[in-house]
Amino acid sequence: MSTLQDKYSGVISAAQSAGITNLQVQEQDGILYVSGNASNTAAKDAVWNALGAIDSSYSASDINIDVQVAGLSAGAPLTVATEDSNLNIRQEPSTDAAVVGKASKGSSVTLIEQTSDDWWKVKTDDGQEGYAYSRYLKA
Amino acid sequence: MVFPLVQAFDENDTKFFRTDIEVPIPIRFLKICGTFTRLYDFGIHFSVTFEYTNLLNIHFMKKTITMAALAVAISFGAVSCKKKVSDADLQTQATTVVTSNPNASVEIKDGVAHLSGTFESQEAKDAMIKQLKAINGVKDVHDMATVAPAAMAPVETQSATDPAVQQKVQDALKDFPSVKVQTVNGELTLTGNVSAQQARKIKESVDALKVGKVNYNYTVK
Repeated sequence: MSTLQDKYSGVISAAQSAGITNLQVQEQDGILYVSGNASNTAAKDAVWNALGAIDSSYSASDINIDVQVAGLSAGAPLTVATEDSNLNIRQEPSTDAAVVGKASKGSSVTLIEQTSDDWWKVKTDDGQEGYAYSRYLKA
Repeated sequence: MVFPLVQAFDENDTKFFRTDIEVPIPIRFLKICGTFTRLYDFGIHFSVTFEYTNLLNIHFMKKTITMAALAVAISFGAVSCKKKVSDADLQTQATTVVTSNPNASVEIKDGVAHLSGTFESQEAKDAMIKQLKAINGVKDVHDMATVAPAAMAPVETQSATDPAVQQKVQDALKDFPSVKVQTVNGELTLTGNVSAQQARKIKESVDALKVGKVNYNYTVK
């Protein structure tokens, strides 16, 4: 095991026990890349919690974690997990795009598609469709 | 009572007794369900009876008083009467199993599978050996294969200066106006005051972009 794999062995074992699929651990240019797919937000969080146990300020530059919640089916219920404000629902998958709706913290929206890692198309309870930043959605 | 099918043959492969009858014979050869077993040649004619303690253990007892002490007991792991499968048939079945790994090959010789080639993991190799052993007629698997993990493709990184990437960085930081981002020599550098939870949120989004080294130089409160 390399020094980096040793340093972040807690992250790797958390990913394994959380059932992360397509798990890849690879060292390149002094950065340990850990990538894979999670079936839900809790599994992804388990990996990030493990990083927090090693790097409590989440500011390490020698590890790159790309674990994404993937494979959700259309119609899956999602919970809005913003810090405290409403979640913007946008016309296009970009913060430059117009806001077409809002979803309050803790409310539920329905997944239409996982457009990309960072933007998911969703439908709010009042029927408004648009793109929301996936970091604020819990599956 | 159920007898296992045991038949004795002489040198010419002529069947000369069955397990359930007592016959005077010159025991030289005994064929049990296709397995050829040489018995001791006592040089005399004598008779045998078979006693079954159970279906798996067969005792050959010599009846004459002088030879009684030489009773031969032969235990079989299992008395099976399955038909002997030809190497050609086994080869076909074994090859079908091994096609799942294009880097491996198998050769059957006298009922033994000789497995060679490379496997990506010990688990994959063990699994294939198990599958080969499961083929009816394969006596054993001779493992000559090696384990050599395939080289991983390099991690694909994006350029931090790509406008599309810059937009995604803006998306990631939009909710944290105190965080400033600079791109110096192709490396992102983030500065400002954040909480650990906010730092985590930012790293979750920025790491996903895979832009190589990112300097998270903010002050974490």
